[in-house]
This record gives sequence, C-alpha cells and structure tokens, in this order.
Amino acid sequence: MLKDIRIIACIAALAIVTAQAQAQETTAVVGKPAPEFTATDSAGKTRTLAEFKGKLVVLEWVNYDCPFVKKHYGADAMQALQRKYTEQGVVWLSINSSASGKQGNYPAEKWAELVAERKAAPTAVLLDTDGKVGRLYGAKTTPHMFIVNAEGTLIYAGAIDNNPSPDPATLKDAVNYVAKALDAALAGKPVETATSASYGCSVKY
Amino acid sequence: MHNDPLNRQPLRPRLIIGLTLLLFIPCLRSHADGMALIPETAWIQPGTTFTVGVQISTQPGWHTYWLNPGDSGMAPALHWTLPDGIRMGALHFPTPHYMEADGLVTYGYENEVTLLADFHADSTLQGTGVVLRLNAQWMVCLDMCMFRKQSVELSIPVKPTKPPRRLVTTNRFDAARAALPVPMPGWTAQAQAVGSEWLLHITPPPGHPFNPESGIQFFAMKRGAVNPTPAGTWNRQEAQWTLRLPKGPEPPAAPETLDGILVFPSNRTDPPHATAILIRATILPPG
Repeated sequence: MLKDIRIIACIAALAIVTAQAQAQETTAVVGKPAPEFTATDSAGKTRTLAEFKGKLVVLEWVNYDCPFVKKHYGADAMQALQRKYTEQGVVWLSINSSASGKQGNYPAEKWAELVAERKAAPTAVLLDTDGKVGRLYGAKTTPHMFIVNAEGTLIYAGAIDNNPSPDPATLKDAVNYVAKALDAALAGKPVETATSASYGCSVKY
Repeated sequence: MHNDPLNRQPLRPRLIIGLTLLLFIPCLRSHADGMALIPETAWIQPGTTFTVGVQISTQPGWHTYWLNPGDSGMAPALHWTLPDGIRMGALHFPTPHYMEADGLVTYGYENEVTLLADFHADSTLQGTGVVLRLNAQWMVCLDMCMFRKQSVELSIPVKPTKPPRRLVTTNRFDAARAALPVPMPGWTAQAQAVGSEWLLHITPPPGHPFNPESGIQFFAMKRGAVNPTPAGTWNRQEAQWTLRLPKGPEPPAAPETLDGILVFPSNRTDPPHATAILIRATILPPG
C-alpha cells in the first residue's frame, strides 16, 4: 500500500516536472516553431496563428498610450510599415495585452475608431486582455516585434529599431530591424539581425 | 491658553487654512518632477576637474531609470552644449534599485536621483564665468510612463583659486558619491556563455566575507546582454563563486568583457560598505 502511494507520488511529481518543462518550451525562440495561439480580434472574430500558415506574419505588441508607441504612430512610421508590407501579402497582427483597467486597454468596439484615427493598417487587432499570448511569446514591451515565416518558424524577435528612445527625432537615423527582416524574408534571404533587445513601456499585464 | 473659550477660533476658517496649507505641500518639494543642475563648488578653477549634479525628480512613488533600464524604460539621455575650454568627463550613476512588476524587471530610482557629471576646465580657460547647457530626455514611470524633455543651463563663475564646496549641497554630493558602485581591486571575474546562460565566476579577495546567499545581485551595464532576472543561483567551488544568469538577446557591448555591478543588500553588515562593486568579467570561450 505504502509502496503504491510512493509510486503514484513519483509519477505525479514526474508529470508536473514534465508539464513545467513543456510549458517553458512553448515560449518563443528564434529559429524554432512559433508558438500557436488563439485570440479574439477587435471585431469579435476568433483568430489563430495557424490560419496564416504559408504567409509571413508580423506580431506587434501595441499600447497606443505608451510614449514609445506614440513615437512610431505619431510620425506615421508604424502605419507606413503596415501598409507597405500588407500590400505585399504580409499578415500584420497588432496585439494589445493591457489588462482590464490598465493603460492602453480599450473595449473591443473602440478599437476600429482608434485604428482609423491613426490611419493604421494592421490585418487585425488582437485583444489579449488576459495576457496569454503576451506571456507565451515573452512580450516585455510596447512595441515588441516578432516575425513568423511561411513555414511557421519564428525568424525575428526584438525591438522595432535600434534607437531606444521615445523622441520622434530618433526615427530618421534608426535601423528598422523589422523592415530589414521582412525585406530579407520576402527576398528569400536569411535575416541578418534575428534577435535584439526590445525597448519601450512595459506590457501592462 | 487652549482652554480659554475666548481664544478659540471658529472651526471653518481653521479648516480652510488647513486645507489650503495641504495644497502647498507639493510646492515644498524642490524641483518636483523635473531636472535641475547643481554645481558642487562655488566656482571653477582653470586646469581642474569639477562636478555638476544632474538632479532628476519625479512625483512621489514614480521612478526613473539606470543606464541599463532593464526590461522596459529608458536611460536618461543627456546632450550637453559646452563652451570652449570645458570638456566632458565621466557621468556617474548611483547604484539603482531592483524593481519588479508583472514578472518584468527594471533598474532605477524612485522619487529622486542625482547623477554626477564630471567636467574638465582647461588651464587656458578665459573669462569670469561659463554657461553649461543641457538638453535632457528621460522617462518617468509608475503604472504608466511619461516622456520628459527639459533644457536647462547653469552659470558658474571662473576664478583662479581653489573653489570651496557649496555648503548647501555638500550632503547631497556626499550621498550621491557614497551610492556609486566602486572599483574592485583584488577581485577577479570571468564570464562564460553556456547554452542559454552566462556563468559569471567571481573570486573575492582572500579573507573577504563574501556571502551571496544574503541576496547579492548582478546588474549588467548594457541592456540586452543579460536578461534582467530576480536573484540568480550562486554556487561555490573553493574560493570561486558562480552565478548563473539568463543570456539576453544581444551580445555584450565589448566582445572581451561582460560589464556590470554586483549589488549588495542594503541591510548587510559585512565589509566593505559599498552598495555595489563594478565588475568587468573577462569573457572566456563559449562552453
């Protein structure tokens, strides 16, 4: 009897350890398959990463009220990237992980207006209010950028560019890592800078 | 006196006076939510080095950032315009605090910090005074962040004699200097990349009562080289201690060294009494 309990305890412990290890493995790593997710967009539609298989997918963590995000939207820089690359068949998902009541969280019906105000052109805005997708990808900041290639492999994770400042004057001379990675991927070339340290406001989980 | 009914004022005016006084409390904080330049000495002497304090203050409870802000935020960006004969020296950041929210780690200062900016006055410096101009940008955050920009200037007299320290700010400068990380004579440090980790090997000088179990942390000097983390795991092998740290998404600033500070808990009693020591770990070939 005692032996049985010991064996059951051991199996349970092993199961927990395995589950933990698997949970850690599901975080996003460049060069590995991008973690699958399901989220609801601002129009109420359920979206998955899997539905975009065969296309390049950009994941952009966004909080319109963050000064670093304002730099990129105030100068029409982020929108210009969205327009340029969605026209070339790239899927652009803006993801908002602000928890209810925290900065950058808006009701679903407000988002169409927020997007229109900025003349933004994402394929969809995903509302990740419980932070599940954000935690899965280890999104730390707004902006924090990820690119998934047609095969579903994560090919970029990190900053939007190499100038960690909210000052719009810094946009002109910055190297935009996302544009460079998308250009490389569209040309069938390897991404030169595949990881960088993201910068911005903390994601308001 | 207090029991004399004739001396008692009606309640309402006293309440109004009290409430009005409350409104003045924010005014009592000097330079609240802004940046100010503070000279350490009464004047500067040609041919010497002098220090100016860059005081950054926030609303109560808000914070600003160290030169490595951690997972989010931004180091203050200081752009100086200096007159002929004045050259920029080092900018010193006091040891920051470790801050954690929603699993994200940042390094910074609550309420107020005084950065120490060193300058050199050439021996050929002419005139009776100079003006230093600073254009500063920084972030202040609580549960949200605000971007701050300010331009200030500081006029300092120039005299041929050795200047005295200004008495009103002596304590401020002493406190800021006491909070600076100090160099580490006698300590050796090496860093090795192994898989997704850095192994940071630290050997304190013989006889040093180094006890990382008391919560000694490593803060990397550059953003991106090490993922900011709660206290890592220390292991001991004879005189050498090893700290395992998660590797960040970017290489260290220089290929030869991993730079950072070892931060001691503020309540410790063992010597030396520095709040932090500067670590320049030689990078070994990957393991």
